[in-house]
Amino acid sequence: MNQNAENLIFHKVLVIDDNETDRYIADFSMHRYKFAEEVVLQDSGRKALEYLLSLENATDELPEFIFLDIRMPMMDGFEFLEEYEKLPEVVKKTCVIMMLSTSLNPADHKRAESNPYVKKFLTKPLDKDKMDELKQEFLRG
Amino acid sequence: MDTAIVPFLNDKGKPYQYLYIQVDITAKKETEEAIKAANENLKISVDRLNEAQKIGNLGSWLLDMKTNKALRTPEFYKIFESSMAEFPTTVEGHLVFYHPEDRKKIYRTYLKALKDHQPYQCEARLVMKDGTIKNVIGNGRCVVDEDGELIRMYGTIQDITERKKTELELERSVDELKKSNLELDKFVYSVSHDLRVPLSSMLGLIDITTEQTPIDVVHFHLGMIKTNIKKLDGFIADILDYSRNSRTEIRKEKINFKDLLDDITQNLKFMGADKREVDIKINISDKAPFHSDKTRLSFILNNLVSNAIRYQNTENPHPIVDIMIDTTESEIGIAVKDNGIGIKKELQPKIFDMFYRVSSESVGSGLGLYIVQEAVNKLNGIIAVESEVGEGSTFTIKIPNNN
Repeated sequence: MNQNAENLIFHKVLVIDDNETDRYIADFSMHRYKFAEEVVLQDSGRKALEYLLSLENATDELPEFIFLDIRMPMMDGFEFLEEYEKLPEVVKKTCVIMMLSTSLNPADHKRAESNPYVKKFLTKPLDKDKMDELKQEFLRG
Repeated sequence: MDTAIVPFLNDKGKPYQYLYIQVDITAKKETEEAIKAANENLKISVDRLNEAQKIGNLGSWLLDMKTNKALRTPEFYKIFESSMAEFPTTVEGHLVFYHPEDRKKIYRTYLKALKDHQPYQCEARLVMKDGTIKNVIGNGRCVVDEDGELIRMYGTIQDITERKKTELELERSVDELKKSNLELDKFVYSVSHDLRVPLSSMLGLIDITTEQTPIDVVHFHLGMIKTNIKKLDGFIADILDYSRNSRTEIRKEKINFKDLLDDITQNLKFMGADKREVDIKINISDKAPFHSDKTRLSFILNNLVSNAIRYQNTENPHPIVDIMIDTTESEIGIAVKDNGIGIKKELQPKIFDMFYRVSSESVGSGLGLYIVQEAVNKLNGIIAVESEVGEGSTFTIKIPNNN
């Protein structure tokens, strides 16, 4: 099974995180462990929304996965989700959102789980095992 | 014995006979004494009743429904700050003593008792002649005759202002306690989260660094780990500052602003972007000696000055921080002015919020300005900000001079 996972790869992944180190780690490890061919990094929810909206007419370019941090200044992960809901249907149909946070707050977990656009709640850091599991779950399906 | 001698007179007015009456009055004497004793007992009882009512701030009353005559105890009048002569004769008339908002309630309670003859209790406010408010609680009972006719009402009125005050205070402190518990919960989650962020980043960096990683990349990762350690260290220092500010007593001493600012600026001069030197101008006008808490003042100034340096405008070739101190007998004015990046108008009210960071470029914990504001509050001062994006920010503080 793991052998299969090695050969599977996502085309494009979007990482939304205000933390520079964590963006770097995501980018580095996603390339290293061949999780995605292209990793797009955005340091704020606002910029990520603009990016997604810009691809409305180039749906092939839309990311399959969005890794979303919760605690960010200006617009936090949940505020991003509120705005995300207003995006065109085609964007929401293409993208799968994962919460990727350091938060141990049960309220955050609950809130994330009850959001229709959030598929999973992952705890940082995103390591090889977690990425392999995601591949198994979403690429083999 | 009681003796009486009655003379009988003749035509000339001379007594010709005497009637001698001797009566045994033992019984009468006893009765008189018993009445006297009973009166004394009654007086003692009434005194005791009045004393008890005085102690309990409780007056009582009785209303004869047939004669409409009322009996009220001294404490009753005292509560209403009225007298027997002054007090209105009708129930309707005495409503004027009550708070306008409570009059309806009182009257309704009375009318209901007239109808259903049930005991009642009612809390209300009295408004005294000088405008002060008293909280009172009234209790009433009805007495009916064998035909079910209401013949008498009686009851008590108690001044519960003190109790009410205590109750309100208690309620307030319970509310405050609930609030601070909730805040503590939030605080613990926020703090644990912010402590874990750099830790998980470092863990991630270590995870992606293996034997195969080129040495220059390893060094790059080590540099990032160092940055995260500094961030963690800074955050822990902020938490300590927060705790110190909220727990430590205020210690007043004479402040030497020159020494204080020299210390602060010496340490901060090169902390800005690219480590370029910032022109720090200090302008002290101490017209009066200033006494305050040195630790807190130092913390406040240190934060404002380091923010001014940290958020300098890299496009501006000549970054300046202007520190102005102006002390008078009554207060001190502090202004820290920079020509840095500035803060957007709509974000200005939020910058003093706990854990608030303006953008992902903000490097701090989001605690600095929060603790600054808390510290200024502790010193009974006020803090304000004026800022224009691209132009710079000015933080001004006013603190009373405690000499």
